[in-house]
Amino acid sequence: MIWLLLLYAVFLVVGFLIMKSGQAGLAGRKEKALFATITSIGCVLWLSLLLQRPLDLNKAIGMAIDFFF
Amino acid sequence: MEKALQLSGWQLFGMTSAFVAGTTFILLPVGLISSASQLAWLVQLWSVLFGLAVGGFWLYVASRYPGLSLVEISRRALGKHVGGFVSLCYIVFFIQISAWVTRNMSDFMQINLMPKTPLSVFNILALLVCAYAVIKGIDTISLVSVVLIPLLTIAYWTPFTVMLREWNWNHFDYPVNFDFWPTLAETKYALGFPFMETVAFMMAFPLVRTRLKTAFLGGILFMGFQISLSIFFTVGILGVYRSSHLTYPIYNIFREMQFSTFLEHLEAIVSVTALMLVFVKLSVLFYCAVSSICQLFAIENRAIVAYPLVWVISAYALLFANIVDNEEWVQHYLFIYYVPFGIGFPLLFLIASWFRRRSDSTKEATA
Repeated sequence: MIWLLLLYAVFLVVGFLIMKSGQAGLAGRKEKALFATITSIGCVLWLSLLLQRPLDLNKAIGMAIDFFF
Repeated sequence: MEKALQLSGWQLFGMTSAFVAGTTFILLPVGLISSASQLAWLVQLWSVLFGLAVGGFWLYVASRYPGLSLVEISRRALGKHVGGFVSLCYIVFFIQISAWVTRNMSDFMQINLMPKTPLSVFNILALLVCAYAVIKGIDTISLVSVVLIPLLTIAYWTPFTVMLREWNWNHFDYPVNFDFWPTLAETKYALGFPFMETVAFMMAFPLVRTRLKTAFLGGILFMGFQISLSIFFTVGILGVYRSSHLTYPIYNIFREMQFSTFLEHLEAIVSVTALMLVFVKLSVLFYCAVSSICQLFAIENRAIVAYPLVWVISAYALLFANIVDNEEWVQHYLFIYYVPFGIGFPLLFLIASWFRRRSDSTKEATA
């Protein structure tokens, strides 16, 4: 799990540095927020897998369909 | 953002064909043959007809909103907030299908090629390649498909026809009770996979320069028919029992081929073919997800969205415990889950366009 959090931190830092340097074009607050949000969602999903408590959207969809039909 | 009028009819045809082929060749035959035995090719044919019908429906909906992508149609039809919510649903939908395609590809590679390699390695590497393709743009993805489709068609069918010497018409005498409605109910997932997934192309419709309808529907028909023919050949060569008990029957046909003593392991051809088609399908879906997010949030640079999405899709792709879990979900839930995205929301857009037209004509009449 430590490696995941380290990778997450490094990914964010490198991403922000690239955006700041202008290589990714004009990157304002909205772009940085979206970048961080999507990465964080991915990291949370990975954490849930590593902790053996997956946030299983497939199962949730199956349960919803079973409930209604 | 993409400039308008960027793709030719051939590019859309290539992309649509590759998309429909995608993971269908490797996944669909075994389920259909299990359900419909030697008539599985017929099930696929009526699924193609369904695919053409819904494809025509989406083209009609898109024609009511000329020059607009799916996200833009959603916001124009339903307003900023409701339309934004529906767009978000489609974004999640595209991410989900991308994850499922990634998982199908990883399962195929792990089972047949590299059993000791973890699935996450295949997922991440494939997604990084596709993220690069997405950043390059849909014209790049479409040009790749235009080049690949003729080559892969020849590479696939040439060895396949060699195996016709194993053909046995007795394989079609397998005892089966074929009732139309129960078989349709049992194989309804074949209507959704892959045909209802092609709603993703509504993101690319505004970019097509010429022959949009011919290219899109032609791609569905061209590849759908080939899948049906492949299923027919699979039954004729392997028989119903073997085809319905192998995980990847078409792969097994290629593995059992023998041209001569020095040409062997021809399953490598179908592996490469399958992988290339899967990569094109994954790139298209990934592009649609990224493009939708960029349009919804007015982001210019796709890289800002594409690379972070690799985190989400690679994790999502690991949610199914195994291939059996995956196939059970597909059989039970896929069609019902796809109906809102393939039929429900587009119908809403159509109804909204009718209302707007009526109110516009009422305003003109009073003015």
